[in-house]
Amino acid sequence: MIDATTREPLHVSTDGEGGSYIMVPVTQLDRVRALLDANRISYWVDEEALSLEGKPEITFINLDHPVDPARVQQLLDGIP
Amino acid sequence: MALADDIRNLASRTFSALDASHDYYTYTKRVWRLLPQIVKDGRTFTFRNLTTGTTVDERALLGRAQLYVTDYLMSSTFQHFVSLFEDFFFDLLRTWLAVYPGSLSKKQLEFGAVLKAPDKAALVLTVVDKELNDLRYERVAEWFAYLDRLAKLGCPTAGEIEQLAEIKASRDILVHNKGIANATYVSKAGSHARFRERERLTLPEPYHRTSWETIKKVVRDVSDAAIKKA
Repeated sequence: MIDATTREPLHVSTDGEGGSYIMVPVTQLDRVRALLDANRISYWVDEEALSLEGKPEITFINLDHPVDPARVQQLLDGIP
Repeated sequence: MALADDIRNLASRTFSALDASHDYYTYTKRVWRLLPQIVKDGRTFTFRNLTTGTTVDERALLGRAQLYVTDYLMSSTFQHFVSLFEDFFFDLLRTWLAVYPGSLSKKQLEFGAVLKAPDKAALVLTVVDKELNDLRYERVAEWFAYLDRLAKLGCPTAGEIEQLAEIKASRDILVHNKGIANATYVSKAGSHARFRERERLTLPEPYHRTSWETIKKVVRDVSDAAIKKA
């Protein structure tokens, strides 16, 4: 799935110890949630959105600990 | 009237502290959420902790950001919410019992404590503090049963008490068992248990918010009811 604001693929961040997350433009949040729900991926979404210097709002989808980030990346990559 | 004012002030201080704690959580998190954007935009920096001697650049800090937000920050503010609730609850009982100590009339006291006390009020507080210190180690349901015997406030609901019991049990696991649920957690959390034994306890943001809301509602309902009865 392509990030509508950067035109780059949505990326599951796995750097660090705190679990994986996806930075998602708010305009695409529902679509990503639907994908995760359909595949029974356990996650929670930040309760606020962030806009830096007037750029489109983004939010964070936090994947729960047992979730395999590679599988989520595959699911995202499978959506044009 | 003085008791009602004391309870009003206690509730007001607790509300302010709960709001401040949640603001701290929210705005600190927002600042951390700026970091990926800043790094993406090509900004570079280095921080050095003069106390530990560690150094991080923007990439290393980005690698810690999610841990700091979803673990350290979430856990520390959650624990703070629970501490604020406990402080409120036991300060309320202390204030109430200082004015209405009749239920403690059968309590025993060493004569030395009587000799040391400057006046009757100090003596009463010595007995009250001993009583509440014992109560602290009981379960949350016992806390509210005690309050009910004392003041018959008619709140919170049984469901809210169960929710609070799970919140307190989660806090105890974070503080005393490295965040791993055990049999004590399962027993204390009862029907609201979120984890089984040996599972790692997590604090998703919706749970973090709901816990804050539950605590604030219970503080409001209990203080309002206590003011009416004072």
